[in-house]
Amino acid sequence: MENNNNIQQEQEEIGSPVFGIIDNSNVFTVPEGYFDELPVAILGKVLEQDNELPEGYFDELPLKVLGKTQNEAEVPEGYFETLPIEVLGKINTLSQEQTLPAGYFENLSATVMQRIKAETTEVDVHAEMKQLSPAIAAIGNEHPFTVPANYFDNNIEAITKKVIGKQPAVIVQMGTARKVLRYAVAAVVTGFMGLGIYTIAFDNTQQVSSNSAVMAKADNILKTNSIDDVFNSLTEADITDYMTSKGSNINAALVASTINDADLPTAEDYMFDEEALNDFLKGKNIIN
Amino acid sequence: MKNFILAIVFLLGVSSPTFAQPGGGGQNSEKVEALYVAYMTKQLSLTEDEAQRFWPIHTQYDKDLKEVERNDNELERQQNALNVKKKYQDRFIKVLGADRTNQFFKTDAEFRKRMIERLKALKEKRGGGPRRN
Repeated sequence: MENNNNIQQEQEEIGSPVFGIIDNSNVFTVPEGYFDELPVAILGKVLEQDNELPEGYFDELPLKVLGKTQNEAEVPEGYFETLPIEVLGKINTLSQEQTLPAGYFENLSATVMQRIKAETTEVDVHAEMKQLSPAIAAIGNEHPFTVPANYFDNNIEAITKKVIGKQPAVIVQMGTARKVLRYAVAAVVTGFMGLGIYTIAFDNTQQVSSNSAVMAKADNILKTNSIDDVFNSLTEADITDYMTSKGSNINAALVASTINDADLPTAEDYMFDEEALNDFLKGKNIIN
Repeated sequence: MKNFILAIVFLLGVSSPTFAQPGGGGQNSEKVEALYVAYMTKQLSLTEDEAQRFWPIHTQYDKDLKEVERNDNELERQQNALNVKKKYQDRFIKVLGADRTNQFFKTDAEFRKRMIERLKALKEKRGGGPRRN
């Protein structure tokens, strides 16, 4: 309600006292039952008017329309049969009438350009330039930069001389010695590679042959049943060579095989003689 | 040209040691090697077929073992040698079976022990001449 009062007050202030006076009630009224009778009243008014159509009006309508169309748009007999020929004939006549002058297309571009030139109103470039940029206009048509006479004719040579100097370029050719050296190095490298392959192959062959020799000997020992004989025939050199070839440390092996805990000097032995261990090893022929 | 000659000299220097490589023990070691093969073949009762499969593996085994034997660190050497033996164990088993593979390791150690003992006996018989480290 407060809002409503405000709006009313506002309207009065704005200067619309009429609206201001009107309160919230509806100002328009209709007689009671007005809308109930309205359709009937409208229909009655429509029926009252004299809009009657003549009898059979709609029955004859299509015929009438058709009749009018037929009468007004009558086509002469055989019209459509001759139509294409007639149209073509007209086109031909027109094209005959509009023949182009000889060499029309050859000169077309030139003619167009000529026309353009002739028709274009000449614009005073200088006047325009003066307006846009007086500084550039002041230059006029003159080329502002100049070079000495024949400047471009000698320019490349002059520059080359200045940059490189008066000496002609030194052309280094590969001497015969260098060429030979190149091939020689290639040959040596190839040879070295071949040597490497040969060495590996040779090493393998040697190993195989050595293996087969060992196998043959072993076979012989077995056949003659002479394992013990061969064993007893082994020399120091045989054994040391063999063990060395297996990577064994012979002295360490000898010491390890010799030492029996029971044989080792006791604590008392050391008390009597500091050299007990040395004596023991000497006794075993391990050290001098 | 100097470079060329230098290259040749250098290559000769590099390649000569390859020719000088020892064959792995020579005649002396070959004798014991043959004895070893005979000894193993007898102890393990290797058939010809088994021998054909066994010795190539053994050669490789020997090579690997030789590599680790060069180690100066004793514990490391023992450990590495054991690793090689374990590595080859399965391959030996495929040829010999588990029992004979076990026997192989025993026989191998036995052969080595006999070698050492023989060497010791020879040294003692010679009445000295032992070696010093």
